[in-house]
Amino acid sequence: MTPRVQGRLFMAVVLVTLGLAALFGLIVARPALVGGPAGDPSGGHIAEHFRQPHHRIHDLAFGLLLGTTVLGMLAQVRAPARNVAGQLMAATPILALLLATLATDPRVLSIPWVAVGAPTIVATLLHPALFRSFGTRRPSRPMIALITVTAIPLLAYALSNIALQRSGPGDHAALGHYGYMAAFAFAVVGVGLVSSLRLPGWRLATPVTGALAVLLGSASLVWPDVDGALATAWALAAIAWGAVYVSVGEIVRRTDRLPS
Amino acid sequence: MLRTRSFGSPAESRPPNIVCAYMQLMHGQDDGPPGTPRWAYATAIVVVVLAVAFVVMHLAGGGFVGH
Repeated sequence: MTPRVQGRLFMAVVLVTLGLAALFGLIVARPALVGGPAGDPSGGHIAEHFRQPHHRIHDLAFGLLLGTTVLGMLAQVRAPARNVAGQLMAATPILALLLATLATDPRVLSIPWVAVGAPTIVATLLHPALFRSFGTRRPSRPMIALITVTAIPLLAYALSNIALQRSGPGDHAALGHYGYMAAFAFAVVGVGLVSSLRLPGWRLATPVTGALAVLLGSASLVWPDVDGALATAWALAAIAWGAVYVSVGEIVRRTDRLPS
Repeated sequence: MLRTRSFGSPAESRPPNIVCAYMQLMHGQDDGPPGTPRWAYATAIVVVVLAVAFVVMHLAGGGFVGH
């Protein structure tokens, strides 16, 4: 495949991914659009997303996973060669969801993330600059250290959700929600690692990593009794860690810009 | 432009190594760093096939509205 053909195919896949993400966003906003033709004008379970209080943390986590993918794909529309980290960032939540599925059960599989995820992975594999950019990585030790520190509690959080998904009764497990939470924990670590490699476009992944932690912590403080919420101390720790990670990323970025 | 190299001695002291040129041509790599490996193309095809199969089977079972 010539570089020109691959570049065009890559961009087509990116646009398909973004189109599918927009479609699923529209369906969540207007469930009757798909519910009517499917014989259930109420929209069935789709109508419950972001509308039922006891699913709020799970819905937020799933939205943040796909939101991370969409952000990374949007970055490709303008300049793929300068946003290699954005492409890896987009693929990370999908790989995290796949890992959570393999660790639990097929109930975690759902059409929205599979339909958006498949073209995201294809775009990653076809990215015009991804493979040749690996040689330009410049891992940041402070950022990797911060990821290592948070990986331990996040993996514990993921393992507890994997156990719930495997054995947990109720609608959360039936809908794969515990698997999503495990994937969320994997994704924070994964996106953080992508950011800390400092591949081209890494500055997008740094605030996203911090935002994922801050938003989970904040949601846990706002809805402490909802399934999936972190305990108050851990929620505060997540918020603090997110802020520190973004700050350290900014320091690293400014150090980069200083003349040597 | 395809750049050919000779291995084992300075390139200018020998004519272009036709084997190197052929291998670079067959792998679609010209000057510059290596591009997309072949396994990436194969994996992309497998991903598309699996995803389409999953979505079709899921929709056939009426699984979308019911999650």
